[in-house]
Amino acid sequence: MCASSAREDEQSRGERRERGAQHQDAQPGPTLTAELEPIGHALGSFGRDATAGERREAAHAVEGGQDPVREGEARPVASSFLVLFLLIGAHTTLETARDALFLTKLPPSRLNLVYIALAGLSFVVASLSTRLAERFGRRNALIGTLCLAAVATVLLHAMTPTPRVVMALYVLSGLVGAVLSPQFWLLAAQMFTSAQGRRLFGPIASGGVVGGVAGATTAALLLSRHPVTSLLLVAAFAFVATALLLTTLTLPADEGDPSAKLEVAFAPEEPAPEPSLALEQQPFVWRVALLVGLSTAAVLALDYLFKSTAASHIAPARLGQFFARYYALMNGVSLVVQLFVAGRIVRRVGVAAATGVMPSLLLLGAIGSFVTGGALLPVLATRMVDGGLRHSLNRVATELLYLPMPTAVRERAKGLIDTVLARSVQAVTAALLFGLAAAGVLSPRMLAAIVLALCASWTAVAASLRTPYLDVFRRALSRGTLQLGAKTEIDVNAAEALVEAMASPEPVQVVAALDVLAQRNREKLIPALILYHDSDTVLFRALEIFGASTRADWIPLGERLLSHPEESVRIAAVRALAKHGVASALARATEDSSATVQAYAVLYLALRSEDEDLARHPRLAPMLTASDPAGHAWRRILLTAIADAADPRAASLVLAIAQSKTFGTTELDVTLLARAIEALHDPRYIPFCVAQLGTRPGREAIRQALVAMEEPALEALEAALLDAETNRRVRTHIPRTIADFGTQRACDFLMGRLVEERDGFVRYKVLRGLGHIVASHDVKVDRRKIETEARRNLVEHLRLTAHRVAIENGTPGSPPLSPSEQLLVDLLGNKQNQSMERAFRLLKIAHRREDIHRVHTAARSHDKRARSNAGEFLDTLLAGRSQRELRALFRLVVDDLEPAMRVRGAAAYLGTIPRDRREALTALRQDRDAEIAMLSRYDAPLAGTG
Amino acid sequence: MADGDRSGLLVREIFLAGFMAGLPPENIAWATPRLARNMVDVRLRAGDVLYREGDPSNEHWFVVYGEMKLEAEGVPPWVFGERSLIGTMDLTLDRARSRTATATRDTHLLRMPASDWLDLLEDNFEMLLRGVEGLAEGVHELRLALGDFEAARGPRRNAYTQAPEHGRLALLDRMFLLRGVPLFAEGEVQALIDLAENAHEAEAAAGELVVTRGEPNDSMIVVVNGGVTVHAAGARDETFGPGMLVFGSRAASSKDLGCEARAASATRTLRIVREDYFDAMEEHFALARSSMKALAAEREELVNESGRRAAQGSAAITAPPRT
Repeated sequence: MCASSAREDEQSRGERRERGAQHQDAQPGPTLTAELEPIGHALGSFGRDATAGERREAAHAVEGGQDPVREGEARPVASSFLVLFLLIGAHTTLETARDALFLTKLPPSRLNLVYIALAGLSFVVASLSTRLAERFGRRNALIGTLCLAAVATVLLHAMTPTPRVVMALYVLSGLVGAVLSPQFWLLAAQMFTSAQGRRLFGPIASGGVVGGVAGATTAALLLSRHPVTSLLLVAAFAFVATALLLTTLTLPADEGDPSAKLEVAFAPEEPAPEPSLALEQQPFVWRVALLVGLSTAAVLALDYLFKSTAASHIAPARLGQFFARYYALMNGVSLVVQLFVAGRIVRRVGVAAATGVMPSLLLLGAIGSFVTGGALLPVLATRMVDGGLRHSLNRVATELLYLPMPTAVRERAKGLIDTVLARSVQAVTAALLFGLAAAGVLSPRMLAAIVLALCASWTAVAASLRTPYLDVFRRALSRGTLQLGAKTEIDVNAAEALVEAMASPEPVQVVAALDVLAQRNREKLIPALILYHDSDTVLFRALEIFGASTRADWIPLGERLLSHPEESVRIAAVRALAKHGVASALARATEDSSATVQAYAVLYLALRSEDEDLARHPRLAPMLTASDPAGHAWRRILLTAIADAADPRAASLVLAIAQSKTFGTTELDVTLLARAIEALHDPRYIPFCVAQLGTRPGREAIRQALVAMEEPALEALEAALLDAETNRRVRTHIPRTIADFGTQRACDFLMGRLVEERDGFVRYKVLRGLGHIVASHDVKVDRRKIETEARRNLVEHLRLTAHRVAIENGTPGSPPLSPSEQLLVDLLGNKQNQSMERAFRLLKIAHRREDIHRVHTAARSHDKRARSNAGEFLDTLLAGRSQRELRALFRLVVDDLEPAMRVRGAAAYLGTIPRDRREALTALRQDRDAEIAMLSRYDAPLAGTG
Repeated sequence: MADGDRSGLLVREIFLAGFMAGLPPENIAWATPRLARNMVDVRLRAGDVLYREGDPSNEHWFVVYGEMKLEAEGVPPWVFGERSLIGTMDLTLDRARSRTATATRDTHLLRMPASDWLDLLEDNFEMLLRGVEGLAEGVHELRLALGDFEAARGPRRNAYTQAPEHGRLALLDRMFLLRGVPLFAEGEVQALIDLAENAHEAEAAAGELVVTRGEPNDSMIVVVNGGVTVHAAGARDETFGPGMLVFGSRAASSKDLGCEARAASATRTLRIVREDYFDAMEEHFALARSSMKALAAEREELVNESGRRAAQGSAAITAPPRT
């Protein structure tokens, strides 16, 4: 050990502690900049504010803009991409053949009949699909469905395309589309967490879009040389290829037992009460169902408008080519949207808001179609929006909505919504359109009006999704419905429980019941007859409660207890009766056999007398000065009497006791003193009470006394906290004391200190105090300021991570960590946890109604899905434009990343990042955190120690 | 909230308030609704197994009525009756279940997630402190009750005993020394820095009193060099060597332990004012958890020994209700 450095440590201990504490967590911007300047080179651009561009880039990187596919994910993503590519390619080819054949053989009005038939059959198919998945697993169900689709398609190809066969083909195509897509996405939901889904569903969905383009292009090319029916064989072949590919897909271990899965999203380590799986108790599921229902109706009506417009403007012979080209173009648009637009939109506005983009654009198109009376161009444009967004942006956003649902809920909900509901809505819409067409009122304008109305409703539902989306997480978090602070009403059952407890032979149970009633301000429910109880403990507590109440029915029974054999009960009885002004009880107590009971009565009566100077009262004066144990007991009883009688003339007595060296500093002594002070409400005690905060015994009672002295005490506490000369131990307890005042002024003061306080530990106490005041009182905080502080702490967390990674990784051939370096790494880890905890505490202050603590627990969990849900919750919670950077930082800190990757993602916030141990240690030796700097300097002298 | 839920909640609160009897009413009022809200009723029939040895430890249970027996091979069984808390030892020691818990008759339990309990302690330092001190006093009482018992492993050795013979200890030496003390071993580095910075070095000649019986017990003493022997009436003398905390984990209590301690030879010690220790615990919850862990480990050892002795007369001992 280096002795000189040890001496330096000793000498600078106080100074270092102050400095260290100042920087225990992130510093306010201006202060930080000023302190960084002298050590510019060593620290590089650490801590400098990133430019807006860098932050945007960083946020983009964090949210998956760069490296969306991480290590270990490439294979499942590639397989999923290919499966969806083939699946949608096959289906698009089938659809092209279907539409061309249908509109060639049948009038568009027959579409409605097909929709109705589809709806009826979808019930059966959806049910079969669910059973198949339950019996054989999600992947095998998909493989089986694909094989069936291939066989049925080949069979239809073998038949002559009569109108009935064409109808059958349409129904088959519809059913295949209705079943395969949900099956695939349920499989994907099983494979990926919601955080992965946000990054990976875009690339995976692009497989579907590319498949659509490929399917339509293939169809267009084939149709130039072959008959339309040849497309059926191509589709069947693609279905089989998809099934074969699926057999190579690796799934999570629990795939084999799909029925056993029930996520408890935020509490993987705790068996929480199981969430209800009944769909009618899932408001979010209802909202998603409404969204899907409206979207299905809207796109069906639009499809009808599109096809009838196409049929009326284009010659039947050219319809096949037209559809093939139009679909190819549409899928091209979809691909562009998927590759370049969808991800950005989801990242920028969040999942819930992204679901509103497509209906909003469709709404504009529908308005155009309505105004022009169903002209070709606006209809084609609107259908292009549908085709361009439905399978890209809208698909990704909608699928992401399902991810936070518990697995069992998701499985059932998706099956019902995407198949049964969607088909039912199609049937109802089709029936409505059929009816209107039959009545001869279904003009293009009328159709456009229907599309418009549906899109408007769809937009409205999408706009209302955010709150129920957050509720999905909240329910998983809350694990119970009790709101703290809300009084639990006492119903008949509860009353029975209380009566039973009060009749218990166990005094502890009886006292517990009394306490529970007192906590709820329901003392009136305690029968006065409780004073006949055998137990001294019960009598003592009951008398305390009665004494503090306004009831008088217990007084005769209380007087009876003045002759109780136990001294503590007699004192309790005298006190309770005295508080209710029963003078006869006091007079009787002056003749009690116990000196203590007598003393209380005498003191109480003296305090009620006309004597001006109580310190000279013949019975009181000796009690103040007696130094024997009896004197100490008298002073305690004197303080008790003063607390009960609360006479201003007693102020001098209390002051004398407080300043007396003969009075102890035990918990009981200080508490009695504090209660007397609280009762007297005299500002002269304020300095004493403030100073007393530095001592543990009786601190809570001292706090209550200060709160009772209201504004003058608050002013004194504020001044003491602002004064750097105030004892640090006292300063650390001031924020919580200020918080106990529970006023807006107290809150505002703490808000100010949160930004300006220089001592890190005191600032942490300010943060805790703010958390307390916000949780317990109706006060307002500046959310933006709080979120700025949260941002600083997250950046600090990342800064520490960067150094820790560099030290731990070392360089090739570098020696193992020395004991002091290991201590340093541990310290960095501690401080990382602290800064993260502080960021979450700040978030809790900004969002008081949210159970952020549970989110923090989930964020630290070893369970990938829990962490993912925490990230998704934070993303949705911090959806505002001004919160984008904070959102990105939380994502970076919470996301399931290797530390090195996390550091890379944080580059824009940190500036220079140490590349190896040497650089990290060099930088840390001059770190603004004194503890880190101190440990960083120890490495060389201590190598090999321990 | 449904009527059943409401009354259930109230019953749990009454039970908890009874369980916490002895704490100040304001603490009870603060804690009971927080704990009661996430509790779940568990009813077992005689012979039902609540958990098995090796299961993960994520929660503990209050026994409302009935009786539970906790068994494992090679150690005496523990039996818990009404108003007791089971499962907390494994939680505190951060390990899988070390025993299998079986209901010996129809039993009603209240399950409480471990995280709720830890959150509660972290949010209320007064309760935490009472818990740590209570645990320390319990360990001390058990040690006195066992008289001549020396734990199987003997006083725990500190891996770091390389403190220089002369001259002041550097801060890092102090930190390494303190890190070897079980009570502080798993506290955060920051907590160690706080303790090390505020510690005072003292020297004592052989035979010199280091702790006087009846005087305020306001310091925790770690032996740097030499040794300190503790004398307690009715118990065998215990000598604490370099790197060890005098009194062991019991030193966490501020209560007068009724013992005296003398330097066994020329001795150098590091004294930590107990208030500094409490302050560090308040600031760093990990230090509190480390302390509870050390105390729980010692308590388990003592209760097992107590059980072994009781087994000579009966099959099981009734463990003190609150572990």
